[in-house]
Amino acid sequence: MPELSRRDFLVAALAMGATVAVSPRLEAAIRQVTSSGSSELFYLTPARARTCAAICARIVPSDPGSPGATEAHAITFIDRFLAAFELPSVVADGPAIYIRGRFSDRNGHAGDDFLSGRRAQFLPLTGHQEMSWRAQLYGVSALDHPPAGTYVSKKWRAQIGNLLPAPVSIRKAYADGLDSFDAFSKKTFGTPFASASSIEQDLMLQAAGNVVLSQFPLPAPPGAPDAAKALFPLITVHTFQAVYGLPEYRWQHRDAGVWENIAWDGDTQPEGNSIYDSALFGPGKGPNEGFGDPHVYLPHGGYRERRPVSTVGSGSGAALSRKSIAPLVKALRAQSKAAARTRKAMR
Amino acid sequence: MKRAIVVGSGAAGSTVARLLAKSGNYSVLILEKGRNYFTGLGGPIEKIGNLFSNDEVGWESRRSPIVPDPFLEPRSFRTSTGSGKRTFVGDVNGLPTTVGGGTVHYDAKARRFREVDFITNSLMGGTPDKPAIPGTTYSDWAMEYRHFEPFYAVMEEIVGVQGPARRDGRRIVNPNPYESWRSTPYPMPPGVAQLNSLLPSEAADRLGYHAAPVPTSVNSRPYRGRPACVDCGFCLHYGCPINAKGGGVWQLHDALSTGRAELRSEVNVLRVEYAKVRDGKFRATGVTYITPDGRSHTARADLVVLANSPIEAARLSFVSGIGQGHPNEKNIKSAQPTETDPSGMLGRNLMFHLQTIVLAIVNQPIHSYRGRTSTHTLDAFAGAGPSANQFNEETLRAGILEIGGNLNPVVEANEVAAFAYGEIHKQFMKLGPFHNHLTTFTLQGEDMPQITNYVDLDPDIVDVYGIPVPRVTYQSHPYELAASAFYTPLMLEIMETIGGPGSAHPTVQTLAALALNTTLPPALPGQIDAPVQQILSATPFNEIPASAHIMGTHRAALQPQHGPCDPYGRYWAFDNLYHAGGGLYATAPGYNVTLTIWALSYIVGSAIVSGVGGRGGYSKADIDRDHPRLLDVIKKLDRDTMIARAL
Repeated sequence: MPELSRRDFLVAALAMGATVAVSPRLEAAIRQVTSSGSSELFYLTPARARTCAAICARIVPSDPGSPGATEAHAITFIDRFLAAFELPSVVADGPAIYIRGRFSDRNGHAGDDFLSGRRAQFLPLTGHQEMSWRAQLYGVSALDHPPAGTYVSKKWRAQIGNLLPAPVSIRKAYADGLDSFDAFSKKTFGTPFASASSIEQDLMLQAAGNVVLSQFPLPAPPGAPDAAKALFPLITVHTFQAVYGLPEYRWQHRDAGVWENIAWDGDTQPEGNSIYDSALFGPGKGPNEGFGDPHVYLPHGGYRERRPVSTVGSGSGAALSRKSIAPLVKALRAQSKAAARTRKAMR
Repeated sequence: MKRAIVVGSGAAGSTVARLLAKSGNYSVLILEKGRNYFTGLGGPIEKIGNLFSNDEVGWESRRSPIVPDPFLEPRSFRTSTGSGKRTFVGDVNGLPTTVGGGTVHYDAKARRFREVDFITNSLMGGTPDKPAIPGTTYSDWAMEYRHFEPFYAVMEEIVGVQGPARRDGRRIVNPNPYESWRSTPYPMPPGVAQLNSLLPSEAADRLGYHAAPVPTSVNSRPYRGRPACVDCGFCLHYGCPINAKGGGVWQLHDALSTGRAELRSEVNVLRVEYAKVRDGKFRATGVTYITPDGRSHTARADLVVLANSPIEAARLSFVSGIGQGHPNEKNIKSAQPTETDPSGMLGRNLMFHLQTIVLAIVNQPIHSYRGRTSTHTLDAFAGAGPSANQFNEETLRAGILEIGGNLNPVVEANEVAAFAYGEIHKQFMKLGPFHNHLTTFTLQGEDMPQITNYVDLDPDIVDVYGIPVPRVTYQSHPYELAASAFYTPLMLEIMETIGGPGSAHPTVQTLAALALNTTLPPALPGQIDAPVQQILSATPFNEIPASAHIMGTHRAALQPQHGPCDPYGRYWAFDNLYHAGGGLYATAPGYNVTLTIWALSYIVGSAIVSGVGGRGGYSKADIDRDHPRLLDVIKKLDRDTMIARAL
């Protein structure tokens, strides 16, 4: 297949009536994130961060009134995860892997346990947990320098790479993958990834293995680097974690509006959804009648709903139609058939 | 005072440790491999804290901090001895390793078996030596429902179970018609019902079934010093930040409160120490464990209880030289007795529930993401019963139908990414098919015991501590596959009946109902981070169970030729070595495993403190004769319970 030029793509895309320019709003947002400072990046270089932010912005795009990866600062989530063991103590009190409980300040708890000012609190890791996460981030070399007081059997170490798969460094996957996307873009479209059009970016993601985009009417440009292919599933997962997970993982005290947009409450503790009210029913009265032991323990009280957990249509969220979920049903049927095939084969 | 060591602090270990410590006759050392995410255990209960939160990234999307790391502690898997040494290395149905065990992040369904479930083999015409179902080691349990009933009752009160059966005068009224008799009501009434459970339940009722609120060890009222659940929506896979979820840890707390128990977490038991004493009998003298820095320590004891899960207890036995860690594969269809395991079946008859999942997506938003995982179950597909005179063997036995379920958005986004991208993906997330419109059935499937389904030691692979890892050899029996296939259309029919005219929710209708067979590990990309995913990507679809319901390996039997443990959990060749937990299951009735594990563990603990057991074999009359002494333990150590008063 002859190599397609940037012009060919633009012509083809224009013929489809698609928007080819990166939206100015998105451009500005990306610039803001990446220029707000190299000082705010702990692992990615500014150039890689630009590419990374541009990919995230395609995975969860932004629209007017509907924030996406850019507004959710996915780049901060990813960069600080990659630098989880290298963050200064003013930013994190330990390895940035698991936020430490229990409560945010969003649900009737004073203060945010997860993020205090700009310093986030994380679960301390055991030596073995730390070694395992370091191996994920830095690769197999991390196993040769376990944290102090962490035993590693020589026999186990010798198995890594043959009987047991060797971990692949996520940091390296990002560095190489982002560089590859950029090089791929320059070679194919003559421009860095971050300044390619959204259609060009999608085509490159399609080339890197996005199965959904493979139904795109345009052929993917050939020659996607392996490093880009390796990065695509990783960056997809991380973008979803960043956008839909706790905002404190991206050092924000508030969700960017994504949760409201998908009709999701986020964390709800300690208030939760149902409020137990000790005054609602007396001991042995109403729903408490016949439960417990009058000599030891007699239940009392009942529930009020803070948010509806059992009422149709009184909460937020959209109604669905058969048409709107057709692609979903198709995908699930395929999965269901695969399961049936396996079951048959097992018999 | 005697010294006891309990290995494992989950549902089983905490139950035994509590009884031993409360008896006053034992000082108890509890050894736990995982971390302690609780603070203040053993102190004032209202001051007990934890490090849990409603954090989907950490507890569900990343590998949860409490589950075993398949990189550091892999297991291997194959379907039969004919498939080579192994076909897979990684996570093979690993249970959490943490203080509290699997009861930290479970969804806490607390279901009893029925009368028929303990005696199905003989009801079908089988005998101990000729199982009713060909190709299996199907068997009656060593005890019957009438023996278990008081132990179910006491555990429901100790743990704190909400459920629908209540007292009306002298009678117990149970709205679940499929269950057997009970002598006490639940301590707490059911909590708030949820639409994703109510809608299919109501549809089932219109088709002539009877769904009921599911007994759940989650507080619906303040109970024993812990608060009522607030239906936060983060239950299965999450530790409870407010301590409303009942679990092993609260019994551990009881044990520690006596001042006669000590918990050591982050220590890994390497082997059981034992000596030959007399008449070919053995006696455990303690255990040797390793601390994270690699130093090993030996702790002496008069009694050792292995309560570290059916698979890990078998593995620990094997590495200690108990049983056959490397059985002769050519002869795998036979028991292979050794001096330390006269049954020759330690590690055999490994069972997992075959779980069949049917999902439905409804048109209206129903807040699937709020509340507990499910609030109702339907028992119509568990087989005929509940009493022997209602039994027939033509009705296939699968198990209970759990009704509810949802996916939170990070996981949902990964699922949606299989068919949508970019703008379209975002639109789907806004529609929220899995967090806002989903309901599911999970049909537990009774799993036939097979001598060729077993755990042994992998011949090559060791874990980070240098200990040989467990290898699982397992495949489904045609019985459970047939039951799943039979009930799937009936499950779909219920889902299709949801809502519509004449229902309590006429504006709701099912848009799609589909069957998925998912004892499989996460099949779609991205539920955990990449290097581990790489291990999982080697998984043959649907071969490796991920049910977290693990049973068998240590069947409790009346005679040594029928199982590795006696009816009270003692290894036959030992005076003082016990297993407590799901390993003792003889068969795998399709109910959530934990309440029966609790009842069994209370039986093990009460046998130890009352001195019951120790015979070389038992008759049914022996079991009846011993039973009152076990009940005396309830009366003595848990006298503040309804069941103690009733006995």
